[in-house]
Amino acid sequence: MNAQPKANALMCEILNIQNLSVTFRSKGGVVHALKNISFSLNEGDVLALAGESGSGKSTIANALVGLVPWEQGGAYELFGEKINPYKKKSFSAVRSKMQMAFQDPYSSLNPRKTVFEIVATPLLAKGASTDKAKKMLDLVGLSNADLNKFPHAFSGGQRQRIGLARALVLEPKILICDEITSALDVSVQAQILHLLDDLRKELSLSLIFISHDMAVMEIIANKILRLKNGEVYSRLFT
Amino acid sequence: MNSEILSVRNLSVAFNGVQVTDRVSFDISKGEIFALMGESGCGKSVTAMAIPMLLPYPSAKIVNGEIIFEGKELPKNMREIRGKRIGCVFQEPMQALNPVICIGTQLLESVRFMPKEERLKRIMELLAKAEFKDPERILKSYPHEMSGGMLQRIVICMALAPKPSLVIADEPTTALDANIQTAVMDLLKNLCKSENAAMLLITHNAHLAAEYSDRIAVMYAGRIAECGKTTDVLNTPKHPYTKALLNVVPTKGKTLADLKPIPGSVLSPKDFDDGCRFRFRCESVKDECATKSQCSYV
Repeated sequence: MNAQPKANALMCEILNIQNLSVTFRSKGGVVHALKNISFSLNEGDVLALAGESGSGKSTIANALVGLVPWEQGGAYELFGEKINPYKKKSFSAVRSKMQMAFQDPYSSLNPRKTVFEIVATPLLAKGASTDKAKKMLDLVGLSNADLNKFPHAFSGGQRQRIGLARALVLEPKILICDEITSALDVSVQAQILHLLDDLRKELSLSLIFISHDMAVMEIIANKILRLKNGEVYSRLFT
Repeated sequence: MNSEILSVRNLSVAFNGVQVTDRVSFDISKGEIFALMGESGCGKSVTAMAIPMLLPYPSAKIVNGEIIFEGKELPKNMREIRGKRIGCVFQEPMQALNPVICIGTQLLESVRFMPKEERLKRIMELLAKAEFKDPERILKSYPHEMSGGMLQRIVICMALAPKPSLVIADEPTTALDANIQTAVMDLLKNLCKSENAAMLLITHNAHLAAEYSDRIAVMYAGRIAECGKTTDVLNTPKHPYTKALLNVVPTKGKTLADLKPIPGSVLSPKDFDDGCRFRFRCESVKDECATKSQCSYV
């Protein structure tokens, strides 16, 4: 996967984040989860966010899609458009271009919905036809026979494929993968990494890949942002 | 042969009548670190938990085989041995400790077999070895006041406090951050070596097995695929599954093309038969694999 994003490195910038800070306030005090994080993403890039638990990797992902509030002073530009990160409504435009796949394939899928319903939900929310859900499930390697099954009938790797289909059904241009291979065995992890590479090429995706495994990140990413205590510790280009 | 602390012979375990492990055999010598490596559902934890008789009752049953510990078959009253001669370190330290009892009381419970005057001395000795800076404060703390890494170090101290001859460590670092995994494994290894205890290390992590074990058994679908010295098995694997598994382990310098996914998925225990269970995913499959349980490459 390394070669392809490197070839695209000169392509246009699609995401630019400046001075992203996030603070959590609780009875115990104030926690500065992110302090002045700045980075950019070019078309076709695979940017890895590395760091130990609590370093702020997932908080960056959540801030990008508006799941946590930004501190004043930050700037957010997506596909050349300025986004106001202090208005919740601004993020509805972001989410059609940027989607997330989550770490735990066992808790990120609604156990009462069929696979088809899970993948079709974003389309229904947008008032679009649900035909694309079948196509997307086919693309991630699930068959028509799986459409009416419930999540419990699938293995961890298959559930992660369902999560990816749900994230990609609205055809986002940026996919945030939050530790999506951490709960999987190495053989399934390799299948998912290959699937991500195929999807990235087929759908012209750019990826933000969160992980704590440096070996995986060096395999999949062309840029690595290492975080420590909510700050950028180092920037690597593989 | 006398140096063997544990011999597992042809162990088969069934859950609700469905056999999940099939004739698993291995030996562990005194002071040795033996790794049982495999992917989720391959039967490594079932095998490990069968040794201290911690399998869920009545669903799980040992249907075949024997476990020889310190030269004798395991007794029915496992309380004589479990937590005394065999220590256990589990994956989730938060679940291994009682949340409403302070650490000191829980640690002292693990040395209840010892004379009263020696108990606290033994605990303090282990806490010092585990590099706790303020052991007195640790004794008064409750589990929720400590991090995952600290709790796992406490659980390791608890497992080793009664001076066992065998420690079963079931994925001891899986629930921990990558940066503290090494520290916890170093502590576990050093304590086992200094206390002359053998260790059965259950892991899905090839890096961990390579770094810490003397010998290794690779499990697949309830059977041992390959067993031998760790360096031999990992450097020159013979079984097609071991080769395929090592091909998908991400290491420095590998590219995505080097990670060759294993086609298909693991069989469900209900579909297990007498033939090689890897034959449906094996690149080197032969006709005889449908009837032979033992791989002809090993």
